[in-house]
Amino acid sequence: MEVLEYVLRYILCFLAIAVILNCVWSLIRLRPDKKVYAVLVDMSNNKQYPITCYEASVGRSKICDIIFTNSTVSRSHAVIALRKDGFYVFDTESKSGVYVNEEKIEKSEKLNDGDVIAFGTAIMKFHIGNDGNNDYSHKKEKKQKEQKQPKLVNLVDGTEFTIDGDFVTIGRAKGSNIELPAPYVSRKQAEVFKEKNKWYIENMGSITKTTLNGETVNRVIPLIDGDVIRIGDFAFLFEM
Amino acid sequence: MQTVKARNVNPYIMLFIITLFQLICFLSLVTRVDEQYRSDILMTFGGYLMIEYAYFIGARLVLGRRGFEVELIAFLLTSIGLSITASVYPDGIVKQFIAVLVGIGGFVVLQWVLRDVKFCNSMRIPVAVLALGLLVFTLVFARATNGAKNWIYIGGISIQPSELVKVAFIFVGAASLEKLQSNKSLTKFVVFAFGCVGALFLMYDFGTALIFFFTFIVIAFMRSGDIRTIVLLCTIALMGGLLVLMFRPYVANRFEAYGHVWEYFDTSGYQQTRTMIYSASGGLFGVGLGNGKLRDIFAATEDLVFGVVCEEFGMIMAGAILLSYIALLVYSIRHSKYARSSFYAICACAASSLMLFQAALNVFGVNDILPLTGVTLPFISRGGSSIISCWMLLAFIKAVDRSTYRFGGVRQ
Amino acid sequence: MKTISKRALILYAIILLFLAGCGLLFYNLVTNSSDWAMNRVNKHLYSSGSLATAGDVKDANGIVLATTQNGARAYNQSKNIRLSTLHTVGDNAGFIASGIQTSFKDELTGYTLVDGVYNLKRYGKGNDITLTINSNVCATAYKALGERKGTVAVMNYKTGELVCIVSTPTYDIMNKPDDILTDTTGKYDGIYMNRFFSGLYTPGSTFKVITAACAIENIPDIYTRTFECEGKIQIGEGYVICSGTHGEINFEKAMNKSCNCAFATIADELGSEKLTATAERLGFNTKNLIVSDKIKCAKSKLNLTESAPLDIGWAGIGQYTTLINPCQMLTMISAIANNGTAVSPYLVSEIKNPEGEVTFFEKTETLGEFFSPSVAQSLDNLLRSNVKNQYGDSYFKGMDMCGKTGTAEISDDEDAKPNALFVGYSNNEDMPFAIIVVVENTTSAIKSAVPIASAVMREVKTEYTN
Repeated sequence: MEVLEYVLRYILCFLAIAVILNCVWSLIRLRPDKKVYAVLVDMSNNKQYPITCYEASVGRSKICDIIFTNSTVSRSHAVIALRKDGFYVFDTESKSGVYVNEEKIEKSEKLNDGDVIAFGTAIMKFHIGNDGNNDYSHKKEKKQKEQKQPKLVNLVDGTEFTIDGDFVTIGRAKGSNIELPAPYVSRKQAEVFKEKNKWYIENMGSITKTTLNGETVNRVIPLIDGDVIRIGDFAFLFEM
Repeated sequence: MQTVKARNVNPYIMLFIITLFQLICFLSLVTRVDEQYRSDILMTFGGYLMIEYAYFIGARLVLGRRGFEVELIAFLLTSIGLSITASVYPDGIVKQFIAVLVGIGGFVVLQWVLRDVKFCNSMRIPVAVLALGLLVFTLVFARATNGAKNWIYIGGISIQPSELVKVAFIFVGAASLEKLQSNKSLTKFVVFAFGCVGALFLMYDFGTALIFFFTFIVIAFMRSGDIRTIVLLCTIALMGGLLVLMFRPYVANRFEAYGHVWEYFDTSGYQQTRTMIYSASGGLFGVGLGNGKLRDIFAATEDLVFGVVCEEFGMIMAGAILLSYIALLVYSIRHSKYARSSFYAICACAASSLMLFQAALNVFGVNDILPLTGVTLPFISRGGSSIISCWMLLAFIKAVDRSTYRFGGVRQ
Repeated sequence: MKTISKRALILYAIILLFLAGCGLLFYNLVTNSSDWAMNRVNKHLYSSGSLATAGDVKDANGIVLATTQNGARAYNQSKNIRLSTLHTVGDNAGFIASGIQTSFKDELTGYTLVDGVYNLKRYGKGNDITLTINSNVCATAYKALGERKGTVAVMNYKTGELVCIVSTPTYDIMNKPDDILTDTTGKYDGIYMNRFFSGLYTPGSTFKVITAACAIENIPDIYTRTFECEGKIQIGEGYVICSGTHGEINFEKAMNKSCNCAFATIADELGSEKLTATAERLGFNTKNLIVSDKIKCAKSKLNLTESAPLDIGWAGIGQYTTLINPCQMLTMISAIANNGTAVSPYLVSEIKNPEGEVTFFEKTETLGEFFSPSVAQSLDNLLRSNVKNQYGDSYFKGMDMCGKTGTAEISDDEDAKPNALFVGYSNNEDMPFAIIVVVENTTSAIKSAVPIASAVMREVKTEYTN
């Protein structure tokens, strides 16, 4: 009992430290990536002003997020904010006012993609998303989907196998996603799978080696675009 | 996922470790306490574990959240606090546990309230009125406890309104960017802040008044960036403080031991010297939960709780706890640029600096690096109002991370 | 948002301040931890102000001097042993600063920075300390000193083990007199001080050993010189008084007779620089001896800067402002016995943890060469001749004793009684022990200090030779 208590003190300390240090380390390093939520395009010269935060101040002053040097723009002229139901523009007591589609706004106005906003003489076209006309959220989804579908290209005959789900089995067994009809291939030779947005390959064969870029796979190895997987005479190119 | 470079910790592994931690604490508690309290402690620890798992499963599976570092730290610190309370005051553990439950509930509800900036903006004035009203009510009806007149009793429950007003104070102080830009004047907020600080002064709750004033400075600076006004306000406050010291010399007496507590060994330096002696006795790994002696000193689980942690859990763990307060502030600062509104940025920075400042007053106070002010250590000190306010402040920190909320159907 | 997030950066300053505070906090905690933890209000270690739980203190033969029984400190059964070892073992409230129970509190309680006081909690006791002292010799020394104030210490000059340390006045720790604070007669003066480690005494004639060493090193024809003694000698504008009228005597006789005229002349001839150089090589003015890493001794003093020749003369015979620390003096005399090489005195022979493993044991360490072997041999001959020709071998039968007495005038008052000193050692291979005896306010050294030394050395002989 005494010895147990003696040791538990250290263990207790170790457990707490493990949690706190892990979390602290993660907290002081975590930072969201920068994203472009919308773009203002100057109608006179096509200059683009990306909006990279949820609330962007617009004005002549250097402290603003989006700076227009026109003299008709107040020092802090307006705020463009992304709210729960979409983008809004707020007139923050500017001298020359804010116009959306040529109508002067009171306090605030909801923005739609393609609206024309005038801050004094600075006339901007407002685009949601990072350049084009697509709805912001839709585009994001599409982009993610594209990313998520890597391909395996058979280097022998050039056929492509698009990975549908989260894993692909390769082997001699019937029902494998990619069947390799050769006696030296194991029934379950290898598996390509996804975990936490990353792709990995794991060897399962016993007779024949699975190699990745010429090196034997004897544990789980992460895959990147352009990797070549070889099993006997078969070869696949991994494309993201 | 929004985050790059750094990865979120795996919440399941961390939760597993925290569970182990709590089990060990629980085991060392039940072998010591009186038989009659065993069921209370079992209920508390079991209930706490269930709440933890319920929260994580709910947030992970239903809300699809990824980042749990903030909650993990809070859950761990709270369980350290619960263990100490259970060990020193086994009869009060259920009460404390209920407060923790209310706190976690408040945390969840406040997160939900904070999802909409428009709503928050519209709620600021009602909350301000409510907060001031609560303080005035306290001032009129409070009973004096340990020299400070800051407790009110409602239906057998004693609460410390100043703790809850902390949350309201930050909520009122923050504002979204368009509000800040169209009305640059701080006047209304200054009036509100001085109302709160003044009320606390009249309650003789100087520690909390100081915390409010510090938070006020942080918010005022984040809102206006106007250093001149802030210096002016600080000067006014300093002069006010000096006036208090002149007309109420016994306030100054409270600080006579500061800087040389060993000379006031058995008088006004009593708590500090005992804390230092027993902190040192614990060594790096502590003497084990329940083996301490500092617990017999008055206010051991509140003001001196850092000493109890040092003595029973060891200096290393004490250091890690301090580190976690720092991490919360760093996190808030780093996320402030990407927050969904300046409202959240100000809230989070104010809330996490408040906690850090309060921790500093508590920890450095008992170790004679700062004067002893008698404030609680966030999440760890015993005290229902304190733990509730800490958990609610945590909601502000959580809200600064845009990935906390679903937005327009898409996780940000 | 840019501005808001930039303003937020100033909060890093608060973090830096907090980190600085944490740094200070943990620096204080780590550096002061053992001092703070040893505070007398720490209930882990103390109950009602006295050390309650700690390991044993034993003498060289394993006789327990202090232990913990039923949550309180208990001491040896023999009253004489308690009285004689009080200052070495120390009390349990920390009044006797150099006592083992105070200076080795960390070890006795088993306190470590890593585990705090946990080991004490776990085993109910701390580490056991075995000392080098022999409680029987100590008891004999205490009996020989009796009611007189002073100190007696014996050291093995080959190894540095201190086998006897007694300091008086002393009190019985099991029965502490309650008039210590209120007493006005002076019988308890310096009762909490271990005179051997912390005392400083006017050396009187014992200092002539150092003057002689300096003379042998610096005056080549010292052995062929003769000195004229007429009971006093004029130096500058004053006189140095001698204890007798010795007529014309040589160097060795001058040493035997402890002739002040001769040694004042020699000191004057050597001058302040050479005399100071020799003394400082022996540790005067420069070095506090540290016994067993923890116990810091007082520092012997010889200040001859801007002194008149008369003062240098007085200093050469151990008067003037010269002060010696008994421990330092014993180390020096041991160096003579050990062919000129001094060994560091030590008190703690080993420390055992509660599981019985030896965690620390002290080894003999040398302090370097105090005298060249030839000078040591010459001094040895002089000291041997002192005992053989002057004090009498009957005091130290079969010990080949060497030594020097000193009778130090400590006041200009005619009625004031002098302090008597004796330093010496046995040249016998079987018992390599050196001794120092200091008796305060007594008669001449030959009548007081030498009989005490005789009694103690006889006890040492029975204890350490077959």
